[in-house]
Amino acid sequence: MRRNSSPLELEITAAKIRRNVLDICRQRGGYAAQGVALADIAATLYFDELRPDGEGWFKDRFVLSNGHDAIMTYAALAETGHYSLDDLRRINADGSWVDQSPIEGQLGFEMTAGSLGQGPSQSAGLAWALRQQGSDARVYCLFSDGELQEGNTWEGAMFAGHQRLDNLCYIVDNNDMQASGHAADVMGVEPVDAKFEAFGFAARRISGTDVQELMDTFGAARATKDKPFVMICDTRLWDGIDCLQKALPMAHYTAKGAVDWDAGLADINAALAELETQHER
Amino acid sequence: MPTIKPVNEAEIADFAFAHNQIVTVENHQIVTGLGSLVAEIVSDVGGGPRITRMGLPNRWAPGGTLPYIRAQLGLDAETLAKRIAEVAQ
Ligand SMILES: Cc1ncc(C[n+]2csc(CCOP(=O)(O)OP(=O)(O)O)c2C)c(N)n1
Ligand SMILES: [Mg+2]
Repeated sequence: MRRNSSPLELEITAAKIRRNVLDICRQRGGYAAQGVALADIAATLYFDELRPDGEGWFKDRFVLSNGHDAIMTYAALAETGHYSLDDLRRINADGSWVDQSPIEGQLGFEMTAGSLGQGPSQSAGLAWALRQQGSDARVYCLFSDGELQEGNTWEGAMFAGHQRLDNLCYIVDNNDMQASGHAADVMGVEPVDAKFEAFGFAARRISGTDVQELMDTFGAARATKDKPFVMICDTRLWDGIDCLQKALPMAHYTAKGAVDWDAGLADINAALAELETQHER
Repeated sequence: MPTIKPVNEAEIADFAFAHNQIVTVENHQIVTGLGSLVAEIVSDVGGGPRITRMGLPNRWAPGGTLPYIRAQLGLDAETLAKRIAEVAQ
């Protein structure tokens, strides 16, 4: 716990992020299944782990490498108040300032990440530069299991291990899914933890969907000295929304007509109401 | 032009020096693209036509529908025709 958020409050925020993901994606389709599965990570990052800079943004850096999953960041930044849902509902529409795959300069995005596999090395460079400058800012980089199949990822990891970048925390969305099927079938990435350990990281495997576990793991990352840290999150697409699971396994991109968005929203709103009742007690 | 490398340089030089205005149009990044290739070949000989390069400008493209993105980048038919007509004057 870094900003005194309670697990229940973070769960409520995560439910709202899921609701935003569906609300936004129902307009024209999108990477909704990923957004939903990453909601707990987003809630924990933006509402507990990243330290505010006192000027409306964050002192710690979050780098999204799997740029297509920007929906996670947008949905979270609707909760922080940095984006309005009205703007987000126009995602990727002609003339909208909200791009589905954001480019650098878009509020909330450190780098242009539509071309996958670049975040791990760029964030290692960022962490190194911040340390050179004497900054105590930390760098968090989220990337996908598909990106583990790209060479640049391992160059970044090797650099981070060699430089003992303990201000760097990788978050791997190990959802065993990529555009063309299960990673295990396309080109297996396991054992992810042992690979990073061999590159000089402290590694921990978690579900990625339990806010208490996420807070504990971010705490362990901060407590780790002389090594970069990686948390391998075994998330699953559409996690937490049973009625939408029938889109699996090919839920890489959820087309507008592929799922019953209303049913999904009803599920989330019911879960949210339940959490809010618990909170009032 | 199926490729810019390998390429028949002599053919491009012959074509370029038979004209006083060359316009290159490509649906690729304009830096080190087709237009750059033609400019290199012409400059190796010296003198030659004026070259106007059209293609993806050296900046990020916005999201949106294909016609919208083309128009934003100046690669829609209307903008291309207008620019070529300007050059041809
Ligand atoms: C370098 C590169 N190659 C291909 C693509 C096209 N593409 C978009 S998403 C995706 C894969 C998605 O799988 P994963 O990276 O595991 O992300 P997930 O959808 O599971 O979050 C691909 C291949 C891309 N964006 N960048
Ligand atoms: Mg994946």
